[in-house]
Amino acid sequence: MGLLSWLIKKIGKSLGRNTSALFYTLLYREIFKEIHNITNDLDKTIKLMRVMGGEASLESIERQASILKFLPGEPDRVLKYFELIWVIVFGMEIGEYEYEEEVMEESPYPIVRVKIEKCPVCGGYGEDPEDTIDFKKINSESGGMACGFIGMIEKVINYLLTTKNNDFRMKITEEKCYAKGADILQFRINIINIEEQEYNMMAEEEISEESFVDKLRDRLDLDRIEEFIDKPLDSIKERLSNLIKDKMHMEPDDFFDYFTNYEEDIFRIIGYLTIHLLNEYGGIIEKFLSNELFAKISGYLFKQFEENYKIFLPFDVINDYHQLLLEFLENLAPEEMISKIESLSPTECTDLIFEGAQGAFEDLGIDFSELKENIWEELKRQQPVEDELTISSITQKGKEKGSVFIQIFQELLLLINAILSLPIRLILAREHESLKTAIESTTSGGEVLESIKLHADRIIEYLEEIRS
Amino acid sequence: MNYTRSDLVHAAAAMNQMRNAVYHLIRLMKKENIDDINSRLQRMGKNIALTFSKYWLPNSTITKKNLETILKEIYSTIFKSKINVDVDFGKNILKIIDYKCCLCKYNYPDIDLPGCEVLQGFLPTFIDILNEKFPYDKILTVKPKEISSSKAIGDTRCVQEFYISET
Repeated sequence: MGLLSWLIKKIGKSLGRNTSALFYTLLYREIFKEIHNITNDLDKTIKLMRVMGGEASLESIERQASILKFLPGEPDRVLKYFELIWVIVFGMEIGEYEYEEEVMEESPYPIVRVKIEKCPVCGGYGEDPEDTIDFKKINSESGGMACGFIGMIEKVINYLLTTKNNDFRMKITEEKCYAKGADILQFRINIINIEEQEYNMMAEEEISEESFVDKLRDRLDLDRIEEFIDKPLDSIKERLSNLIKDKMHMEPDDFFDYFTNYEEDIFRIIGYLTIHLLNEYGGIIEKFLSNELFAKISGYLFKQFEENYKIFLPFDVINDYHQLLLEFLENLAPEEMISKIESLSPTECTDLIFEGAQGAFEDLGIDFSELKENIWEELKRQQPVEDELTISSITQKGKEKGSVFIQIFQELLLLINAILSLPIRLILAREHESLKTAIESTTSGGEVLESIKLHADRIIEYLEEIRS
Repeated sequence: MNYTRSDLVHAAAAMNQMRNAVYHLIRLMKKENIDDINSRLQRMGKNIALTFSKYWLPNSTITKKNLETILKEIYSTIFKSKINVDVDFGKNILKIIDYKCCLCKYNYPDIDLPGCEVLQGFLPTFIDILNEKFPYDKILTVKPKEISSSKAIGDTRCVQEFYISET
C-alpha cells in the first residue's frame, strides 16, 4: 500500500468511532435477525439487509466525501483500492486476500473474484445459541451473511464511479460464505454498463454538482499521485506510451524503431525541442533574441556554457541522467537502440543535446556563424579599424592598451572560472546526491518512509486513546 | 482460517455504518407499524450481551464500591467510550453519561427513539451474567429505565438511565 493510501486509511479510521469488533459483529447479527423477524423470509432478509447496508454506507460517504474523492474513478483502478475501501467501511484490516480475473469477451472489464481469508461478519458464527439463523438453508444464489457488508462496499464504489462520471457500475455478489459452510469469503464483482444497472439510482441523482476542488481532485486522484510517488519514471513512461498510442496510433516500440541507427539525432531532437518548447510560453526567447545585441550576447553565453559545462558539472551527475534515460527507454524502445545509446558516453550525449539546442537558437535569431571564437574576440572586433583612425601615435597607443586590458580581463575571468569550478562541482555533486538519496529512500519504501509510518501510527493511536 | 469471536473481542471496528444501520432498522420497523420497537432494540442488546459475555467479562464481581470502575471498564473495552457514572442509591438510579456514544452521533429529525436503547438491554444482562460468574453476598442488579437524552434526538450527550438495586 502506497504512502497516500496508508494516510487516507489512517484518516478514515481515525474519523470513525470504533467499538470492539465483536460488538460490531453481534450488532450486525441482531439487525439481520430483526429484519428476518419482520420478513420471515431469508431471501428477502438478505435483499433488505443489503439495501440497508448500502443506505447506511451512503450516509457516511456523504459525510466523508472529501476523502473518498481522492480515490480513482475508473472501475479497474478502483478495484486496486479494494483493500482501502474495505478499511474505510469496516475499520479493520482485510488480511490475506487474492484476486482472480475472468475475461469477458463482450465486456471491456473482466469479472473479478476477491477471495478473503477472514470474514469479520461471520467470524465464529454458529457457535452460540443466539446464532439462530441457519445460513446453510439460504438459496445458493441469494448470497450469504455478509450481504449487508457487501451493500456497504458496493455503495462506496458506485458512489465513487458516479462522482467521477463513469458509465460503469459494480455489482457485487457473495459467492462463498463461511456461515454457509464455505472455507473462504468470496466476492464476485461484475463491472457493468450503467444502462444495465438494475437497482435504484435515486441516490446518485442527489449527488451535488462538482465544484472546482472536485474537478482538481479528479485530475489528482490517489491512484495517479501514488503512481507518481512510487514510480515516477514508470508513470511518465506510461503517459508517453499512451500518448504515442493515442496520437500516432502506433506501439511505442514501433515509434522508437524509426530512430534506430539515428540515436544521435534523438539527443539533438531533445535539445532542439526543449528550447522550442520553452519558447512556446509567450515566445519570450524569440522576442529577446530579436534584438541583435542580445542575440549576440546570448550566443556567446551559450557557447561559453557549451564549452565549460564539463568543468562545472561533475561527471557522475551527467552519468546519472544518462542512466535515467536508459532506464526510461527500457521496454519502450527496441533493444538495439538502447544498446547503441548505452555505447555513447554521457558527455557525447550532452554535446549532442547542445548541438540540437544550438539549432533551435539559430531558428530563433542567433546567427552563430557571425560569432567569433569568444566574446573577447568580438570586443576586439568592435574597435575601429586602422583605416578609420586618424594616424597619430596617441590613438595607436590607446588602441594597443585597450586590447591588452581586454586580454587581461579575459584571462582574469578564465582564472576565476577555474577557481570557482571546484566549489561549484562540489555543490552540484552534493545537491545531486542529497536529492538522489532522499528520492531513493522515499520511493523504495526505505527506512525513512517506514519510520514516518511508524511514528504517525503511534501518534494516531495516542490520539485515539485520548478520543476514547 | 476465519476469525474466532475471541479474536474479535479486542480488535476495533469502525461503527459508522452499523450505527447508521440501526437507525435504518428503526425506520423499517416504523414503516412496518411495529409498536414495540423499544423492546425489540433492548432484545438485540440482551442477545449481544449473552454472546459477548462468553468471550469477555471484567475480572471481578460488581459491588457498590467498584461499580464505577467496572462500568468504565465495560464501556471502554466494548464500546471504546469514556463514560461518567452518576449513581444515586437513595433513589436507586444509575445514570451513565456518554459524550461519545457509539450508537448515537447525529441528530435524526425523523427518529424519536435513540440507537442506544440497545444498551438498555445490553447492560442489565451483562451485569446479571457477571453476578453469576462472580457470586457475591450483596448482588447489584440493574434494570432498564430510559434514555433521558441522546445525540440522536438532538441532545449534546447520551444519558442512559437504569434502576439499580442491591439485594
